[in-house]
Amino acid sequence: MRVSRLPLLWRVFAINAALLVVATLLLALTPVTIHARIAIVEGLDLAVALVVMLAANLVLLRHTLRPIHRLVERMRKLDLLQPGQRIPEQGGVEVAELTHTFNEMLERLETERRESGQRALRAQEAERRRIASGLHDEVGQVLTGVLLRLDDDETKQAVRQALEEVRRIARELRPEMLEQLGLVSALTELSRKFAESSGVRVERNFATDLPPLSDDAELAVYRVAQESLTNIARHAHASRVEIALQPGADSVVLRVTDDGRGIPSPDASALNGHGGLRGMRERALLVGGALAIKRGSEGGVEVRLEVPAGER
Amino acid sequence: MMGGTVVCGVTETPDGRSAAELARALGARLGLRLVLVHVVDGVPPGTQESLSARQRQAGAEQTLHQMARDLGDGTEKRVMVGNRADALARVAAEEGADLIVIGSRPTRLGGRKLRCTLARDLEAATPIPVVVAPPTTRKRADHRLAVAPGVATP
Repeated sequence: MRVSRLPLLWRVFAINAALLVVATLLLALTPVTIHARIAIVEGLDLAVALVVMLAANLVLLRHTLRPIHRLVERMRKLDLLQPGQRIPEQGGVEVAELTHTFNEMLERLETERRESGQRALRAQEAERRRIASGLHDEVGQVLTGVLLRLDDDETKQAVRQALEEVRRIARELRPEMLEQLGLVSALTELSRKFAESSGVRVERNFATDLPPLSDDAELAVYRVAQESLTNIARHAHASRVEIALQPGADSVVLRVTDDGRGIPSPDASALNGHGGLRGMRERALLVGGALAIKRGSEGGVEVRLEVPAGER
Repeated sequence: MMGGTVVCGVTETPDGRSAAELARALGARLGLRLVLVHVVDGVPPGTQESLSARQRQAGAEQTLHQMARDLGDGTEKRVMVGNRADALARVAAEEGADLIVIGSRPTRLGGRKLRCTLARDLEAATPIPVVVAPPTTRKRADHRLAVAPGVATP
């Protein structure tokens, strides 16, 4: 049986036993004598031997316990936003078992996180639809009624603006176009509205041979595009945006690229907590997609989302 | 139709370049998009970013730019900061990679074993398969996946 396969208890015991045996052999086989009234030289000999034994003990135990330290280090680094990380089940029996149990726990955590995330997102979308209906059907109707009764042109203009704003918010909350006409039409409309409101030139590049996507994946693509355009309008100072939808390997790839001022750090992960980026990552993760936010090839920022194809 | 993605971790060394060439060759043969990644050391949290850290990042960007230009159009580049294995795993996850290619060093001159602690670290950090490119000291046949089509050996 290999020493590394021994339980931790027996490995520690073996190390200590080996050191004690060595010490005993040294005492027995070397001409070392210790008197009842210890001499200075004898005391020095004992101290040196003790230091050597302790150092050897420390070195051997550190080596034995290293897999545990490595395991702890890897546990600390694990990021639940990056699923699929599993720690190799190596080391002694206890460490391998601990790693195995930890990997199983990760599996359960990822499943639970994915399911609860999906439930939360569906609830959020349902709530958005409800608010959008309320705004469109109730607030919109009231404002239209008020508009018809007004005589003053200035007030009428203000109410018209409020009505338009209410409709815009309702549209953003509930992408009707996505439900009725599909992803390409919804993205076309979204980018057209974005160009109108921001004054940024938008180039669309949508492939015609896209594989079908599930409803959740379509919504994720739409929301990521929407969030990207919102971030461009708020932060990028861009003059041109390209929005592309292309087929990938059994997947659909969305790219939103701008020519704005870009990301200060080359590593965009520093921005993870900003501008709804975490929300975009969550959405991508929940549909099994991959989201990259990085410097564009010609400056600016590129948002790339790849979602797996699947039946509706 | 465009296939998947191969992510390649590169360095300024000849072995890093060898890995990039293998990744390019694999990408060309399998129809994969290539993303080159250069990871530089990070600055500990709470400390000021030093001039040398910025210089390292600038150097990494320059290396990537040069490699991408040599490897041809369509090669994407990313500079990351932090631990190599973690950063490579993160890019691979973000880019939806099907494969990660990294370089290696021989354990000794002419040795058959490869030294690649990064591969071991990546095993824990990502479920994506890792390909270890042989070091430049190892002789390879021309018809093998050693040099990308149309790419000159330096």
